[in-house]
Amino acid sequence: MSPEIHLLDRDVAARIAAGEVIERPASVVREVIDNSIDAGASRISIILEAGGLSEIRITDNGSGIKSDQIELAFHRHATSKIATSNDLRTIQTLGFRGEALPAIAAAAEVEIISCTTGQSVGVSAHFAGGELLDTAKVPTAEGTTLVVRNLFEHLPARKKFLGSASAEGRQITSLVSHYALAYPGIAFSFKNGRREIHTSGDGALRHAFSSVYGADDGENMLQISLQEGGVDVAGLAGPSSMNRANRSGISIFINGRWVQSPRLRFAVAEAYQSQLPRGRFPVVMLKLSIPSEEVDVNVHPAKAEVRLRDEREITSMVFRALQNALDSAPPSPFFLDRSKDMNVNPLLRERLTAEDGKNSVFSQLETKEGLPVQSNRISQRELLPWLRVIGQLATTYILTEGPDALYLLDQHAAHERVRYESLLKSTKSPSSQALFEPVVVNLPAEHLEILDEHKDNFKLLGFDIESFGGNACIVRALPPETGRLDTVTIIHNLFEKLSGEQRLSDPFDRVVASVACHSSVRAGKKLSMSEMERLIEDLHKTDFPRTCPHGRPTLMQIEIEKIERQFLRR
Amino acid sequence: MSTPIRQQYLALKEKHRDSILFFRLGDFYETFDEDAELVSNALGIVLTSKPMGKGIRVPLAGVPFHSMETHVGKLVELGHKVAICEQMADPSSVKGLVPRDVVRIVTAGTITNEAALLRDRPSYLAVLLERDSNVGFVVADIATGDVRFSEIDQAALEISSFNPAELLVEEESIAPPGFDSVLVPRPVIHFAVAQKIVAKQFGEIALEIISANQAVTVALGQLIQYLEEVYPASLGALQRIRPLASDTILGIDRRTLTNLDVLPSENKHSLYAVLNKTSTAMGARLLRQWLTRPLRDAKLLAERHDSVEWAFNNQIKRAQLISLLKQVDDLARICGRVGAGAVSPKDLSSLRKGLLVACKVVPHLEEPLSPKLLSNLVSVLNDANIPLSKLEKILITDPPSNFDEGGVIADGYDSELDALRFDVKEARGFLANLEVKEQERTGIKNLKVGQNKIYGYYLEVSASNINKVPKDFQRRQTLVGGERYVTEELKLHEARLITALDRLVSREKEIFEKLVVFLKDSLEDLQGISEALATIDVVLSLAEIAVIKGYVRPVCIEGTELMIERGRHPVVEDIQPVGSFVSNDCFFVEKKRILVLTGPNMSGKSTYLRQVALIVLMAQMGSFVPAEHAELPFVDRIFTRIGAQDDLAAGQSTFMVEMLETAQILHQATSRSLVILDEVGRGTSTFDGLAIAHAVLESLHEHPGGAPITLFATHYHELTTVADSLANAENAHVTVQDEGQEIVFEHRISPGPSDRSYGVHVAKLAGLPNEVIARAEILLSQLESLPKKIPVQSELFRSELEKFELLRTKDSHLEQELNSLDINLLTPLEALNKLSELQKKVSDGEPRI
Repeated sequence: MSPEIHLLDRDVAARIAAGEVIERPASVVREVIDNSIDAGASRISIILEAGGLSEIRITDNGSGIKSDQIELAFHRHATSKIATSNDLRTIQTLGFRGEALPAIAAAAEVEIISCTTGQSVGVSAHFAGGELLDTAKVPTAEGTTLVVRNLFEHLPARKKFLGSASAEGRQITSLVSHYALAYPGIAFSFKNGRREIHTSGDGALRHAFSSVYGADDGENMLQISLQEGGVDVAGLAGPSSMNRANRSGISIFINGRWVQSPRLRFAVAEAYQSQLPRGRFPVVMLKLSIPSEEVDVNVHPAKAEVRLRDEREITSMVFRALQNALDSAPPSPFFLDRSKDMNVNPLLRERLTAEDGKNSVFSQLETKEGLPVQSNRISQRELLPWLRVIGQLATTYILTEGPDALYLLDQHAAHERVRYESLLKSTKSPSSQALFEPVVVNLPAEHLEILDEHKDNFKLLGFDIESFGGNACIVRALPPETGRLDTVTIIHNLFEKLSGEQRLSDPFDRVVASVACHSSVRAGKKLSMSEMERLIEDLHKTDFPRTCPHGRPTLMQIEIEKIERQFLRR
Repeated sequence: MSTPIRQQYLALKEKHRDSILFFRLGDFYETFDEDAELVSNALGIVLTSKPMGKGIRVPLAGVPFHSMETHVGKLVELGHKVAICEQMADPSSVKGLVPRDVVRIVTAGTITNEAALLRDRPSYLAVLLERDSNVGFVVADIATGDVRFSEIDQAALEISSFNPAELLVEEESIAPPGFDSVLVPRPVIHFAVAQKIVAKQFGEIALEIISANQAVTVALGQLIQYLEEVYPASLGALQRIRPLASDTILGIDRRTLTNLDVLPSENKHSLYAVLNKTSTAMGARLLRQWLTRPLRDAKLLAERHDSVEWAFNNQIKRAQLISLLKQVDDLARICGRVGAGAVSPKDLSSLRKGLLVACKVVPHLEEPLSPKLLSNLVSVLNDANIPLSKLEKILITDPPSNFDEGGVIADGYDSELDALRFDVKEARGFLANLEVKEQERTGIKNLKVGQNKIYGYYLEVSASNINKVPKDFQRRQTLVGGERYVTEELKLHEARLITALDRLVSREKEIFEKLVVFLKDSLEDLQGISEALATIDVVLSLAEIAVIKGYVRPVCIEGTELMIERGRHPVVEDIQPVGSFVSNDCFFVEKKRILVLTGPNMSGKSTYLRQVALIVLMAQMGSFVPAEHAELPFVDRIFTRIGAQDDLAAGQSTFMVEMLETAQILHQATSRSLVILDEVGRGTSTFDGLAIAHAVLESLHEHPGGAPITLFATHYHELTTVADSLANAENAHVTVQDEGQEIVFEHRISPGPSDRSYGVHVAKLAGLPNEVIARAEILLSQLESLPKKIPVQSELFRSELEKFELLRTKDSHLEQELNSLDINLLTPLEALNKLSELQKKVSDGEPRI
């Protein structure tokens, strides 16, 4: 049965933290999904037109709104969810303020269609500029559909602050992904142009995770589970091989509410600390169930933050829960598994690259409160500490000692970075080394196409290479950076790399990265002390010493402190 | 006197008078005379003429060889046959006239080229004939080499479910009812001859499979003989024959498939489109087959449901398998091309990819909990290993699509090939080094060796250095900035290079052909792998869509009861905005077999009827169903009589079709059938229609062996009294909220009859002009307020009903006559006359008892 909607008393309304409820399409989606969940929906569908700028259509199969209460629902401070100010202390629902619908109706054209169980026919109503235009009876299934069109169309001052359709759509994608994970018992169906997410609603978090991030990642997630004193910490933790350049992969839900909690996020990152290179962050889906009287949700207009009565204890629980999960992990390589990385769900890839926190729904809040917004670039530019070479490990890693930690460098990745930057610098005046005599190299058809496509890029880098009849090409000169291998091998490696290179979008970057990669020292090559010292010296001079041109880390560190702990000195 | 080539053409044309002759002349396929005029019109290409002898000019239209497939496809689609005439020898090696012959005749049922075939729709060639009152039916997909036969007399149904593009029949046979594609009469062949032909193609074992069924043997013989005439190479793809399980499928005729929008047709949404989430072309075609041939066998069906449920629950596995299958090309048609010897290096690369996927799929299906249908495929998929390793050894990683330059066979496989490649490399290397050598000799620093398609290799010298060019340089080409030359030495080595290249390409071809022969020998395995992948694909697709759309697994029961809770129409639901479709229940029990559904037009009656039929069909093809819960009986046939073509202009003939369909239902339905009747009797006058509808309902109700589950929709609310009078029939209506001037359709089904027809309201909703509506409302209120003076329909009908009451005790003449008609024997004209006679009897009120 659908609950009655009523106006809140003025003194209750006054206690509600509210400000700008609707800032952008994503805030509309969040508010409406909250309502759907409160209405007990088991299926929620979200369909966007133009990233939500021209239309957002959200449909649920929840309890619906009675036809005679539609108008009331669009009044400020009208809600079915709380009645007295006492209720504010023990809020069980996601919504409670009676703010969302009126705020949406004030900012956009709204159509609502709703039908409650037991009603034989539904009702539809149109609002514009906050005013009810008309209502009509319509046949429809149980549940509510809310269509929001042309958000901020008549409020140019606010429309100005909206991003492009794809940027806004991306935020909603991210938002819906988070909700789909927080509520695996609800079947979410999301469409934004060609991008679709469908979760089954079978209640399995791992299944929801697979729908959002791809099956392979879903399979590898570690289970989080810890219960203490009425608090339940659950969720999934990515193995350390699954990591990102920013914190957007960490999502935290408290009592089903998606929240931004810098402290909890910090606790999560902390648990991974020794396992991830600096500047990389884990993928974690954390769900906390805390008795409602221990949580104050009425602190933030966008409901993005909550106050915890015992934050210290909860933070410590989160840390321990994650450590338990990670201890249960099968031994895994420290670094990104490349083959996995290539198979990343396009959605994840997009978010890996596109979301650097700048466009996040909550970014403004974070900066406002002076929290450090750690951007990808800043962390990369961090200079390397002074490193003393100890030796070579597995003829692949360079062991070094830094001021506070043991540093391991991937010799290939590090050298790649060095080569890459030196090539980039040299393109201003490419140096080219003519071959003693021209060399003919046979190429497969697809590589000939690449040669055609990149002719000019090759010239810029100091190659003299052109096609020579049939499937052959003739090479007359190479840049010195290509190294000492024989020309045929160089060209073959280069084209192989180039045709497999998908991570860099700029064609020139692709060529440069391929040349750098191919000409760098391989894993498995023995290096002398002086060679290793030279490499670290060169790496110091680069702009981005911590990653290779493809974004893989060049080094990882194991803190002395951690080592001491392992030896039980601490 | 015409030229020899003209005579050659005329001789070939004489042999293929009924086909358009595509005559290969160099890089073109030319058509002449009437063919040329036809082709020019049909394809919109230029008609010209060509002198072919003294004073003879012949009309000509031609297409370039590389676009032949597209053009042939179009002509065949237009109903023509095209004979392809090739040059049978390399023109450069023949003195005088190049020998030419027709290698293939492309017909509707034997077309195989990708340009003309739809990815997800096969083009079937079928044979239907009779021997000693046994029926033999054979259907073949020439593009994939799949051949099936049936000996059960369900030919009409099988033709419906396959809808062949071309049907072979024996001379003087007529087309079976409902068949409207190309019919090819063939001379009769004898059983003994057919046996020999079949044994030669499929081996003696085939005769055992058919178990000496004469009709089937002859039908297969006809198929093979026809292919020998039109496309002999295609016989290579025909590896095995398999029986069609006609007795375990749910029968649906083509009209019902159309009425229910099961398959896509122009601009219409279809069940196929809703359910199709397949990743491969073979999967898409198999889904079509499952849809047109649902199962009736409890065990087979449970296997399908089990596997869909497994995929439904194992989301991660499902996603991993789908991403594997997405990499697979159309293996079935590639197998067809392997068999026909028309396979390209690219095709084999696709085959290799598909076999690799087959191997990767296996571990996913080997788990103890894997459903039987899928785990049974493991042994089939394991056959991929041998051909895969062969392909991996022989074929290079990314072969080109044609052989012009070679580069198809991997290094290290053949020593002769490796040696030839070394020669080519040497020759090229020499030419490259010539650059340095000539630079030193001439002192021209920027002298370059280059190559282009027209002049081959050359030495290029810039304009400023031309004075340094030695005497032995022979000028070939002048450019803006310089000149290009050749020398004797350069020419010599270029020739060496060309010879080596030629030899290289022909050696590669030899190896490639050997590889194709090897694959052809394992074609049966390859076809099995392709089918296995298609099955997995369809299962995954059904699971995927069930998750997305919220379908549930139906419970299939042995009884004849039917229960659908909150059922939805899968296609209408898909078109409407999400969440707006109003679901409805549906119950049939032993004592409730017939539901008479009344309600205004546009209120959702038809949607409800079709929804029930579609849910039953989906369940029996192996899919989950759009409902919250469904318990369904095994249905043997689904019949529909739906007034889809309300074509007023067609008037009488619409009624004719309607009656033919109804008669068919009355004859063929059993207690296990599902019958959908939408507005029966609409095509004639009100009273006729009512009377016929009434009689039909009664007949179904009294059906010997039990009434089929029947949904009967009508907007004659007079018929609700009929339901009241029949023990196992009930009324239901579509609810309408009457808001005075306005009505609101609720799209909900409730028990009991409907009270009014709301015709005027509907007219208003449909946008009839206001003044017309206003006038209609006045007339309606007059009619309603004067019930005694102007008898309204129901009163008139009551008297008719009373007459019917008298009739009910025993069969009326009308019924007896109707029952005695054998529809299969009537010609359309006879049926029409018979009907008009019956109609006359009914309307004239002649003694009928």
